[in-house]
Amino acid sequence: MRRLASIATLAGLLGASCRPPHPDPVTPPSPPPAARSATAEPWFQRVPPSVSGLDFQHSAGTTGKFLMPEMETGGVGLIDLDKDGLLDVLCVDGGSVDPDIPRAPSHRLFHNLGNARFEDVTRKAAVVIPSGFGMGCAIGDFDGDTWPDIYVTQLGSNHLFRNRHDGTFEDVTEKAGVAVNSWSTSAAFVDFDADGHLDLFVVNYIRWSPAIEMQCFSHGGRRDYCSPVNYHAPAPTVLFRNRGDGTFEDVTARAGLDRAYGNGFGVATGDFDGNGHLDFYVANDAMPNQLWLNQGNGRFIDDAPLRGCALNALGIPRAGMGVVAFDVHQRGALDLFVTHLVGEGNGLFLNQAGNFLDVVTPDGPMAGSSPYTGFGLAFADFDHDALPDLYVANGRVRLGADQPDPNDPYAEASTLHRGTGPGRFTVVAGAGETNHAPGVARGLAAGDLDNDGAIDLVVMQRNGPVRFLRNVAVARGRWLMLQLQDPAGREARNAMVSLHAGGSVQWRQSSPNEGYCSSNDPRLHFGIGNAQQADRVVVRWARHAPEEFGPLEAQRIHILRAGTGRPAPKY
Amino acid sequence: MPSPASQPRTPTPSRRRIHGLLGALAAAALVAVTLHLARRPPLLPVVAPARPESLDPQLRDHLQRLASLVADSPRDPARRATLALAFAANGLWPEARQAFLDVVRMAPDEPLARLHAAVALQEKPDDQAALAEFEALARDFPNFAPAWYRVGEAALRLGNLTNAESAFSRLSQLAPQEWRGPAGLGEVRLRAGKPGEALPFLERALAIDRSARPAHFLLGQALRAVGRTNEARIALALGAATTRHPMPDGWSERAPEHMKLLPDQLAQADELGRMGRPDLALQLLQGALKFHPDHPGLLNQLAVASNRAGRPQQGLALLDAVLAKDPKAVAPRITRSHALVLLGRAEDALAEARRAATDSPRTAQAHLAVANALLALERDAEAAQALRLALDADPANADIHVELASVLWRNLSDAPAAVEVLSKALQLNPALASAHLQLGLLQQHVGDIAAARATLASLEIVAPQSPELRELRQAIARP
Repeated sequence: MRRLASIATLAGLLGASCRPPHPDPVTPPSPPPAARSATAEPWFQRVPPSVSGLDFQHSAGTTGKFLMPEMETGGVGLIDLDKDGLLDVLCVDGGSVDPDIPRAPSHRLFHNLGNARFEDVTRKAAVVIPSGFGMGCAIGDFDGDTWPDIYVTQLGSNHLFRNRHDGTFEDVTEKAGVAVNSWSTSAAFVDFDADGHLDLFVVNYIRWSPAIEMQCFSHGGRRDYCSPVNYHAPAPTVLFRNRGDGTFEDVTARAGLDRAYGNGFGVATGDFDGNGHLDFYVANDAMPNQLWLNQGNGRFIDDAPLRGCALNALGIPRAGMGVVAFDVHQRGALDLFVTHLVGEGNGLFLNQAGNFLDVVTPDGPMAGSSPYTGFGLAFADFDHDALPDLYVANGRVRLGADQPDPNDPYAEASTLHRGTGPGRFTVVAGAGETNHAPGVARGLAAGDLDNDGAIDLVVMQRNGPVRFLRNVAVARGRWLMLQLQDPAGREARNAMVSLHAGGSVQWRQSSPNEGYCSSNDPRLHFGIGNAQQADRVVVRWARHAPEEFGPLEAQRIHILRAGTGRPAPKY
Repeated sequence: MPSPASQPRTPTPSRRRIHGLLGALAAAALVAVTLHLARRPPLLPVVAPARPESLDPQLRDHLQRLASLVADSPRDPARRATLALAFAANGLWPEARQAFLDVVRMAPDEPLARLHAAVALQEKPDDQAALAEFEALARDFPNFAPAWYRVGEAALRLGNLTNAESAFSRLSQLAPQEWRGPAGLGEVRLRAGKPGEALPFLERALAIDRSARPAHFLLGQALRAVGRTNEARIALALGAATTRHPMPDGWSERAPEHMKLLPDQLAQADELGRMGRPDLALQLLQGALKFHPDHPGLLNQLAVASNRAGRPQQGLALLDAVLAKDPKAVAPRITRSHALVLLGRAEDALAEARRAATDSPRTAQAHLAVANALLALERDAEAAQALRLALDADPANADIHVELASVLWRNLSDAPAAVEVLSKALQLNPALASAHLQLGLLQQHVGDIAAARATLASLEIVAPQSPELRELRQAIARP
């Protein structure tokens, strides 16, 4: 374990600030603000595995039998496993679901050495799973010791790994009681009952086994993967309540979550109806999505049909893949953005006082998405102009009429959408071939891996190498990051933060377990353009009274601990 | 003196006139032929599928037949259009696009060819380019209603509310009995954040066609936005989980007859069976059987259609063949159980259904088959238990709730339990006419006429032209 000496905590009302540890000597740190980068300039540069050491090769175990799970696998998680201030990377492998050619998944954990270099510490860390078929992961401190733990979702048993604080992990699945034994996809650690312990919400896809596999066809009769609706086997989600003693209890039925099933892929968390309790939104594939509203008494009600976020505006279910809860219009309400199948276009459900409207605008984040099948996604201000951008990891699930990559009929380009104003985006063309090269992208994790203050990306490719896309946007403005902690120094989740800088206000929620089967940088990142500082930051904690911090200096990571700020009015 | 034959003759003036006339005639003929040839449709190659070897054999056969009809009469745009339609009906959009464009070249005055060429582009998908083509078509054929519908729909997809509004307005003028015009105008206002203004348009759309589910769904959103939550809940339920409903035209209505992919035909057959036309379903499936003689799904669907046609014995042989190859197959076992019930062999049916439920305990249909067989054996309490297991497997299925309520009330005389189950069904789907009917009949049965009338009033809103409403009306009118 390496703890950075450069982190200097500043106690007091301002919270704490720290310079980014391990600034990358290769890339000039934090260039001064300048004009917006031209669209022809690359925003991301793919760091080759030979340089980064991030040499993970995903395998879905495809054997030509078109077994459904092969098409959906591939998640990735960012975790600072040794609390050295550098984000490490967990790559979730598939394995094989072909009973004739069994193979256990080879998940791998890479330790960040700094300077965008990684070393494989899988064996040492003991994050090894002997069976099952890997899908994704959620990172969170379930035991409240301030060290991040790992939950891996699979077809088969899921696994929970407790961080032992020495670079190794202990598989505590059985003891904790969180195996599930279904086909789990995304998962999220979230304190739904506000008792100070992170509970665990697990999304399941369909009730599948090789025995129920069938033959499906597309494009005039070519053999292809099936749609989930072919199986008529939606699965229920599972909610585990954290008892606070290292174990969980399955409260799915008690919470009412067993009353509606779905082909679940993605999950987003947040207080969507503003009643002070954390809710869950599940993106279902070819079925109505679910909005599980927390009643505050341990029970949830799926109110998506009435609230307007189950179906599109015409009442048609779409193929929900990844989802994030993000304030797209930057006005203090959590919208829902869901990636979809080719032809459907990605969808924005705009939050209007707890009800949602399926919005399509010519310059919205969904514009230009119709030709693609989206999976992982991340809103982040990649170029620090105080306007969030969007990256969508695309990859087909069915054969298409054209084939951009001669080697893989499911490969297609991913897309970068530059923020141009609140709720407005434009597709960046020619932003560097690295982020547009065809692939079958699935999970995506966003975070500052080289601690230069800019958000990098790790994109998982089905049956392909993981892509480490380093942010090289040339004309970045200023930035700052916030590390939210509860009074005990544990990561504080689902806080809603407004940051005031340069005359504008930006909103973020701290909810790293979202997207598609992936887990992001837990720190909140803001680009602030030419502003020198954030004038003030208001944090609406999930479990504590709202507080105000600031001013906060730019180009730094600030630790904001609940109970150390100024009281802020409720809103 | 040279003979006339050996010496060049000097034309006389009359001969010169004749020669000139002949020349002029020849020239005119040449011009006429040239014009005729120019006006004839160009001789274009027949569009062929990109990967014929990978096509479904039935589809390949169908396309080959249509292609040879085109080859027989290559200047016939109607035959080309049929081929194009067959490509489109089976999702071969690049080929469909090319074939429709060929029709456009051969018959430039036919707006449907341009319309469907643009639809193929939209399915590529290239929404922006398709919108441009729809707009050009609407400009060139300003009285062609389907073009305005497509402009409106494509513009809405791209979030272009201004273009969508003018297109749907024009559609409403051209086709006042087309619900998509006012529905589109309502959607435009809804998306513009004016739900109150959307309401009259959506109500007008439903006045034109009560079965327009997207209009119900849009209405539900508008009602919710103006705070009429209870009405919204019903309208949303009436419109939920639908599919795309493009405005039909003379060509698109012919598309189903060209759908030759097996999954599409199985779905078509199932729909025909549900509509009470199992004979047509059998005919359709028999056509597919020639190309897929061993396909288990097709054989099972044939047996389902045979059951529906009242000929369960025919289906049994097919199912036996499927189960002999795959004894673990659940669907054919369920179908077999239903066939055995129809044949009066309820004990055998129960054994078959139980095996399906054991093999696949999370499949609701297996438990329904168990319940079906138990009801035939008049073991009603066990049937209710099997229905509860079906609900465990599919808890959000309102139809199973209605089945359970029916058994609880009619077979087990447990009216209170039936009411409770029906209430759950209506929570899940407030627009479910069968649940309203059961509840109303039950209320009338127990003498709660006021409640029955209230249920009737709900059913009048939910399903004003339904057989369920007629039945409840008659029941309540009886002394």
